Amino acid sequence: MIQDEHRSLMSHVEGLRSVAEVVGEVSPGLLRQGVDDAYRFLTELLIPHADAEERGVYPAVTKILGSDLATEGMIRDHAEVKRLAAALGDLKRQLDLDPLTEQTARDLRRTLYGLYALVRLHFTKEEETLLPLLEAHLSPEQVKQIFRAMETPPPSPAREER
Amino acid sequence: MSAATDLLRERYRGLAVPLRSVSELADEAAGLSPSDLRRRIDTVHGFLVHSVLRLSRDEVRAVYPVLSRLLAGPPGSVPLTREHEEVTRLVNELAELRHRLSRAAITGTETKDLRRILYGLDLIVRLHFEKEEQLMLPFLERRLSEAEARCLYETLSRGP
Repeated sequence: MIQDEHRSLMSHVEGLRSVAEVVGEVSPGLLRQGVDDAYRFLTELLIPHADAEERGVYPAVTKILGSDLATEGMIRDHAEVKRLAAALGDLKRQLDLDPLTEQTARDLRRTLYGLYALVRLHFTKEEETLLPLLEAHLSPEQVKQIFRAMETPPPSPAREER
Repeated sequence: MSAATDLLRERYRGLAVPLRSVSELADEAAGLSPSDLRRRIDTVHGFLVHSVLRLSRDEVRAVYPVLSRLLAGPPGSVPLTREHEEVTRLVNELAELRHRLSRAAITGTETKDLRRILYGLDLIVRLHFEKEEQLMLPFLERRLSEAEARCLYETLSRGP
């Protein structure tokens, strides 16, 4: 199931590289569109997927391994994705206001190529290591429970009483 | 704290400043003359092979077997090992590009490949050192006995 999700996310991950490659080569409108699409992919698909993994898959893997060293490392990857997504958001707003400068072009390439390398490697680590651990140590029913936990939305922040 | 983890911490910190040359080359690649570009790629490639990959080999030889044993098997350390493999793969890709550029001027596609490789390496290596320093070293400090820490220090100091 996670492998299926990764496959559907991979075309968007390739999109990060495609946008990085055309920075400085396409019209301002096309560049803004590419950056908007990349930002929406990160904030609307990839980061919610990462948060769901932290609710479902990682606690189970930590329990199997008896240590959180591996999963803490994966959570650091997620934190870096969020940091880079926020940086891309700032660059996106800059593109809405000003023409592309040489510095903005460099920052865009650095952010997009960094994300591309990080996310591809992160998926590989999950598929080669963490997911086989779940399959080897848990029953199909237990694995299903984990995926159900991933589908449950996180509790929304408590509303302040008036 | 132990002499072994101090030694590793020192090596990560010693690489932080020269590591900046990797993304700086990516930033500046398109504006360099062919000869300057070749020279800068040679320098960055040399740094990656002689400093970053050397540290990586030392860790795979001396640290990761200990880590695996403490984690009761390889799966716990595999994500970190996989990062070493990715760094090696990207450095090899850089070496191929460097070889091609020794015979011809860089093309537009090769400039894009160069940026992808260098920005990717910068991010993966930086994040990997951060994880090792903030997660792996404290784990080793908590779990290694004095005798084990001494043995690790000796293995690391001895070299391959």
